Amino acid sequence: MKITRRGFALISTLLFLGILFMMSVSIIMMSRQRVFSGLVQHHKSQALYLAEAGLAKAEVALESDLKWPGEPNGTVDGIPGTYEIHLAKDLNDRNGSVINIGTDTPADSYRGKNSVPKNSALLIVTANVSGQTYTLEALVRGKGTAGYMSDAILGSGNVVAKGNLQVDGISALDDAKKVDGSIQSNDKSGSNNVVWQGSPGDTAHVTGNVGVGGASSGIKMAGAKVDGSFEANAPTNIPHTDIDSEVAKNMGNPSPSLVPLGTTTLGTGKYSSGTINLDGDMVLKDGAVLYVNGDLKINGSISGKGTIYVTGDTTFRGDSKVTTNPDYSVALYSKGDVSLRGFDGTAYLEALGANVELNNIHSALTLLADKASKLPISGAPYKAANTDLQEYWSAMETLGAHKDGTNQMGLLNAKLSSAPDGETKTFLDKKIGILDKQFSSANIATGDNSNTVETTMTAYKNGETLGILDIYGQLLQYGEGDPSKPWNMKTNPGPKLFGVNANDLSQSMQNLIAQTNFDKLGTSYFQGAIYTQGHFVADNEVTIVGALMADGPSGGKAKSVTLADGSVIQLRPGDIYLGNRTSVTYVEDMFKDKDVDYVGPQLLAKDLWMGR
Amino acid sequence: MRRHTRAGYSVMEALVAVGLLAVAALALLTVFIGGLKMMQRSNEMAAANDVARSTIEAIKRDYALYDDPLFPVGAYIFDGRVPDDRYDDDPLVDPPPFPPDPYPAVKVNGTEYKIVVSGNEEASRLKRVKVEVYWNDNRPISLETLIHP
Repeated sequence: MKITRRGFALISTLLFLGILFMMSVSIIMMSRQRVFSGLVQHHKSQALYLAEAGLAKAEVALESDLKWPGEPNGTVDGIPGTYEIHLAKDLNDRNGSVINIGTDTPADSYRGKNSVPKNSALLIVTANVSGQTYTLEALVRGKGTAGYMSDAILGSGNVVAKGNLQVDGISALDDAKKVDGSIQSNDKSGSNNVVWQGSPGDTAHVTGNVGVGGASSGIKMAGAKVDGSFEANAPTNIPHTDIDSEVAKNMGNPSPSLVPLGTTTLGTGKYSSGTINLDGDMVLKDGAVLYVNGDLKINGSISGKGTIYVTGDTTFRGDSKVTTNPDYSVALYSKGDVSLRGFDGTAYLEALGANVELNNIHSALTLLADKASKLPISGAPYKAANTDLQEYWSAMETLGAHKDGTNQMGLLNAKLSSAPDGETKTFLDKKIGILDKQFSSANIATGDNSNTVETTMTAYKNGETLGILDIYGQLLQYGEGDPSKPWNMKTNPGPKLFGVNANDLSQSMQNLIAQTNFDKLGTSYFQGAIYTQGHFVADNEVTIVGALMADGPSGGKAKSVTLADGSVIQLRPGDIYLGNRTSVTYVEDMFKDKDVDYVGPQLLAKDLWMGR
Repeated sequence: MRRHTRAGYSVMEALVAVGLLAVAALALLTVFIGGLKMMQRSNEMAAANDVARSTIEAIKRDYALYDDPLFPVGAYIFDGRVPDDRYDDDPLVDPPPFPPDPYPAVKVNGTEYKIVVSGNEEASRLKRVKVEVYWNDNRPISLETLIHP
């Protein structure tokens, strides 16, 4: 058999090409595999970060709403893929989340009994990007009630302050290291969001930043010293606190024993009540916690150490001095509006049954104001011959002059003496005494007491108004006594009396009459925070060592509020109006990572997380 | 004559074989090289993905550990492709470089990966961070997430 080499080269070539082809194919397969696994790896990374983004969104949602239902088909703008978080249907649901925030007992999950600690949530997020899934499991923990506050004054609406304003911060109550004290309004309108209006001589100092949710045009702080920066378009998250739930859970506590017109003392412990409308004082002893399902109105002073929850409006008329219970960071939670106003003495006296006296006083003051507006009273300078003068004297005598014990001020004092002792009674006692002097200070019977008249008028020229109502009447009635005296009405008729212009005197007298009331501008001191979901308004001088926060729902309706000076302003939920001297010192330690038991939405922090 | 012809076939055969070999080898070599390049790109992409991940993790760590994180509040962009003169200045005076290591670029197996980090406040207590990694003239890869403190 002859061996031929024909075709060998071709066969060898084909063989070689075949090997080369197979190598190429395997290289292509390998590189395809590499590319594919690279893509898979990238998609897996994208899924991981989508899951983390979903978890972050869930945490933010839970910080403001404990009834957050989950996210069955969640997406994040700019990130491909979808994620889902659902609440566990049963204990076998390995992808079911368990929300146990705001509770003080552990909860069960697929991981076992009591596997979700109190005030925590097990969040399980599954993300899918191009077929690659990543499941993230995280245990998040509530950081405590007031951990959300990083500003000294924080409103979802506008913040307006008048008079002296001081906003600063300290590290802790026992550590005076300075930290920023900031003002923040989340209002996005760009108009009058943070406003300071000082009178000449007033100062405003903010040691931190002033921020608004909208344009910087919303900040009007001309003349104020701001150590930090002005921040526009920088809203701050305001978690919503469920005051209703907190109060509902605690309605089984004993009711407080209210002492109308006296001093109500709440000892250590928890108390619950419906609406409270108390004329009188309230003292919170160490640790007292008061839950009010309705409105809380205290027309008197409130002081002590404790925490107050109110589902309606809260009004403190008078002095307030409340230091928070050490287990809490907030001194006052109010779902409705918070008003720190001056003491309403008229309401207190009405509660004492002094309506007749108050009506008589009101009528006399009205009459007196009318006569004072017509000064100098024309006609004969004698009571008997001048109807206006008769009426003037009648009003004065009704109020206080020359009828000690039987005039209306005297009768009012008698009514007041029946009230239990307390700060408010002491205040009113002094106030009625001062008013009585206002209407009877000169107490001259003959009109010839030149020393008293002269002394009073001289004092008036130096700015003292006490006694001028009485003296003017005396002048008119008895002014003809000594013709050599400058107040003699026969020798010195006309608009000038002791060199005083009668029109000026008339104005002073009218002012004095208009200012005659039984009220008192108060001072309010809170150590801790004030939290409201309505508006906050203060006529009082307000000092807060802690923080002030108004967290109103968006779109809340504005209410008209009449201030102490009679002006009317409109306030929406979330607005803060500080009408007098205000000092807020932010205490960082109270609001930062404080691990306290609490039952509402709050800041969350991740304790553990793992992928699976 | 036939033999001669056969001998010619042999030459022709060889020529055809060489030609075929050349053409096919060239084609296959191209595929081969392409495959290798694809493998290299795939490796680079995996490395870029790792760089992006480690950058995001560094930012997250920075955000979680410090009350006053290095990366700024509000919208920002730090572009590793653009020289950052802050590195040349006095470190005692100038702000620290951002973000922490490995910004602005990192070398892996001789390839330089340039990092671009951008972010903004998605909402209060919710920051968006996007990391893009560029290398050679390839399309960048990007990873993006939201961070909650």
